[in-house]
Amino acid sequence: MLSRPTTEQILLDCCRELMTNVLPSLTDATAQVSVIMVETVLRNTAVRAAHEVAWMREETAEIEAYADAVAGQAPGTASLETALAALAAAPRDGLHLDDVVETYCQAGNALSAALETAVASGLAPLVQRGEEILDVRSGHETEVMAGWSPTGR
Amino acid sequence: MHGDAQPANILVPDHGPVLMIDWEFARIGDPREDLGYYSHLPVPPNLYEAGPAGFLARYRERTGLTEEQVNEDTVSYFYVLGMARLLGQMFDATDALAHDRSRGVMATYMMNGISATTRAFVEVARQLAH
Repeated sequence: MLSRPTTEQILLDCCRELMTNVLPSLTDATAQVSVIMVETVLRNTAVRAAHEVAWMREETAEIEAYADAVAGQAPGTASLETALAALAAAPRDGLHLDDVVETYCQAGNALSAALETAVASGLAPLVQRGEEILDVRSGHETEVMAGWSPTGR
Repeated sequence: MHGDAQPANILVPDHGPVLMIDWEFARIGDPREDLGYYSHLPVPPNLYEAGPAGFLARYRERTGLTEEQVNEDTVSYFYVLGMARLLGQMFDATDALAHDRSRGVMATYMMNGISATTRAFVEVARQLAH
């Protein structure tokens, strides 16, 4: 398969086409806003295409280690053990997006259960560590936003 | 209360009264929810963030509410309350996209708002908690 230009490059090229050739020729305000929104979505998608598999895999590893640590400090928490079991059973072998997303979703459930457990059990250092993991996730989401702001507002 | 109190929904004509539009989210509730909603909205112009003390003084003057009822802490409280509702709506819309129950670039575009809103929500909630 052709690997270059990358998906990111192709999408960004579509963005340039929309902004330099399509948008200036439009006179209808609704269509202009629509093109701007499409361009933004494509730009977001370019960032995702470039990084999302790696980010999800990295976060999943961090979350699993974190949830294991919480489970070790607060054994017998049913919701956390269930979430960890579901994460352990999630597909890990391949990098196909569906598998990575499914595993990441299970990791998200484990993170939620682990944070609730850490807060309920008064495990202050682990609450702080959980907040740091959330900050990493927020940082990735901010990168995906790629300078987004509400168009037409 | 209005439910989407933001600059894009306020018409300021050259002559005549200022008009508030887009009442689809209007409901019976505490009007300070509108204040909280507007307080950290990433939509210019944000007059609250430009100067909370002065903004709230003018708000109290116009509404007759007291400083105990309207201050930066109550704004943060109603912000968290309002954003919890808004984030729920955004997650529902994203879930509809993910499960093919909805289409259109507008909903996909607005997904970005989840990131911005969540970040502000967590920040204000942490401040309140402390």
